[in-house]
Amino acid sequence: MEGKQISFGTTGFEELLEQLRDAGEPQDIAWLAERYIEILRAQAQTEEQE
Amino acid sequence: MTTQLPFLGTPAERALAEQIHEVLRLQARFYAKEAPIRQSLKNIISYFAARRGGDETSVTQEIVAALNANQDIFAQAITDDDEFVITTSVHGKYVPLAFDRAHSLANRMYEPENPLPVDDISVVFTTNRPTVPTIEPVYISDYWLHGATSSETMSIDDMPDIEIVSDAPIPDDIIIGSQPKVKTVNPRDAMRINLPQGISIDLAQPTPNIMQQHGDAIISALRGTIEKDSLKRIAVFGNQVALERDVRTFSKNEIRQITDYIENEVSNPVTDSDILQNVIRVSNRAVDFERQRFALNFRLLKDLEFVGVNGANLWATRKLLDKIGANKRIKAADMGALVLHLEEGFDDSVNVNSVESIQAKGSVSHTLTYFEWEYGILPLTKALAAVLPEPVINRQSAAVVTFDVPQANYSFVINVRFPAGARGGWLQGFDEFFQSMLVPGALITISRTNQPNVINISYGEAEDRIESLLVVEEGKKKSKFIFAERSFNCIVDDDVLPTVSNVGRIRRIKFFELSERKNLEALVEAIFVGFGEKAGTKQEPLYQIEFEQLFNLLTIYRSVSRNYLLHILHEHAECRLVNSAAGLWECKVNVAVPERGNTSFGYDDEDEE
Repeated sequence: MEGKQISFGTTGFEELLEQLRDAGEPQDIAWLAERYIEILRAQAQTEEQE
Repeated sequence: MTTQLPFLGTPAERALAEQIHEVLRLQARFYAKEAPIRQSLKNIISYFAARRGGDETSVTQEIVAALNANQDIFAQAITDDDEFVITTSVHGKYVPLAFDRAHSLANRMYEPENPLPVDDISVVFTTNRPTVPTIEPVYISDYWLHGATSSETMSIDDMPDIEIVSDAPIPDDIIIGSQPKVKTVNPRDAMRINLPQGISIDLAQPTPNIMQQHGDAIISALRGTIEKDSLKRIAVFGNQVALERDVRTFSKNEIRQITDYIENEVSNPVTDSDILQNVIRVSNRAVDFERQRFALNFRLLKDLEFVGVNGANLWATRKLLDKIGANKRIKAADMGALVLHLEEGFDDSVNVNSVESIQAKGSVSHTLTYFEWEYGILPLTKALAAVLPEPVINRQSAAVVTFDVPQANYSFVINVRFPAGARGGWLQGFDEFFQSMLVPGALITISRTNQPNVINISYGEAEDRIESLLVVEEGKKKSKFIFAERSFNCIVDDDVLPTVSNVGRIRRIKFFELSERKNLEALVEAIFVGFGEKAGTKQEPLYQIEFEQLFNLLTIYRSVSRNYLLHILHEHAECRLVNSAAGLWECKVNVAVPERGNTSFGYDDEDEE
């Protein structure tokens, strides 16, 4: 896996939007940051396995 | 009016038919030309029987004969209980209108039956798309995104050529020839992500650990990402976020009502809850109240001024905000320039007590300067900011905070102007409090309260005292310093108190309008000349003054920090420290100083300038 493929701000942003939409209510930005870290981690793990 | 219709029959029948038609036409004089005129045969008979004076039976026969002779003009309709005569005013016999729909738009959509060949379609419409401006993405090198320590795999071909100049043996781990030229990647590196700030984060760690260690940096980077999103898909207000398309909007009329409510009904900044309940009519018990509150705050950013603090989302109009704590004698641009040094790294307010210790204590003490007292302002130093609420939103320009004076049971509203661009920050609106209860040199203490937008301000009390103190006498053309007696009962720093003995010689110096006080060098030179002890010769005049005295005198004119004054003195080509133990500074000033034999203040200032 190449680390350069995971880029903060680009990778997983669409998934982040989906999570925010699913939440329905306004959320704290720290909550959003945590979700984003989890999305990035999942992507990194997937690419590592590939 | 007679008609041109061709009535048929005997002369008597023709005449009667014409009369019948005329009666019917008069009855329908406002009808359209083609509209049917309908009358019952019974009514026609009774009308003519009365006028012709004959037997009704014979009249009936005559009318029926006339109608039958003119069937092209009079149509007859028979219902269950009566017989009707139908005609039109111009055309005679009524013919229902038939609309020509042969060329309707609906039909024309299918014409021609055989469409034009595709080659000719450009004759019908253009296939050229209009130019739509697109936002071009800015590509940033991965090197800068991931940093030089990036975990990317790099083949030897990609590596720059390195000229080996040493005689050392070639290490075994360098792969030569046709073997795969790939560096192995540390699996731990594959789980790392670099923030735009250059911070590298190990994603293998648990999320709470990452957030604890790098939470602020991640949130800051995420804010940057959200702001840079050209589609603006995430709505942000303070620390809250939501999907923009799910955030309700407010009509222009609602915005107008909110503006009117703030400016004309309340005439003070209003909380978001107040607006929701009293203008938008949303009950605070509504299930979606918090969502509505977020929507209101997010949408109002475009139209109104947010002047709130964490826990109190206050909204004002620009017009209203300009009035809060306003002082007509000082312009915001001048004030911003007079406190700019605080943003340029010369804020020394936390040299003795750190921000953390002030925050832990929850209060800060300050000796009021003449400039602050005169114009009702306080510079927003780091020390003061430590007890004041922080801005809630990005680029927030002001916050409105209530200051309580517990010992006087008195409160007032203060406009906190946050630093922005080429101006520093300050608090304005203390005029009345300072001038009615304090004097320059008073020791004040500012402390937080349990309410987010309420701050306490107190002062040390002392025995009543009367002194002749410096004040500005505003003139029509220009202002000047004078001394006037004042009574006060607050604890003061006697070195800062602007008495005749401390600052009497200030009248030797020109007044300096506010706009002129930005030039600190000029002020320093004037004070050296006006207050300094003469040294040197007539040809080369030198003036000496102690640093603390110079600093206290400067605080009469403007906001200044000791660090900033030191910087100015060091930068000044003609100033030098002559005695560091006494803090004595010397300056060579090429300014002609009027010689005054006395320091009584009865002389005319006009001569001085």
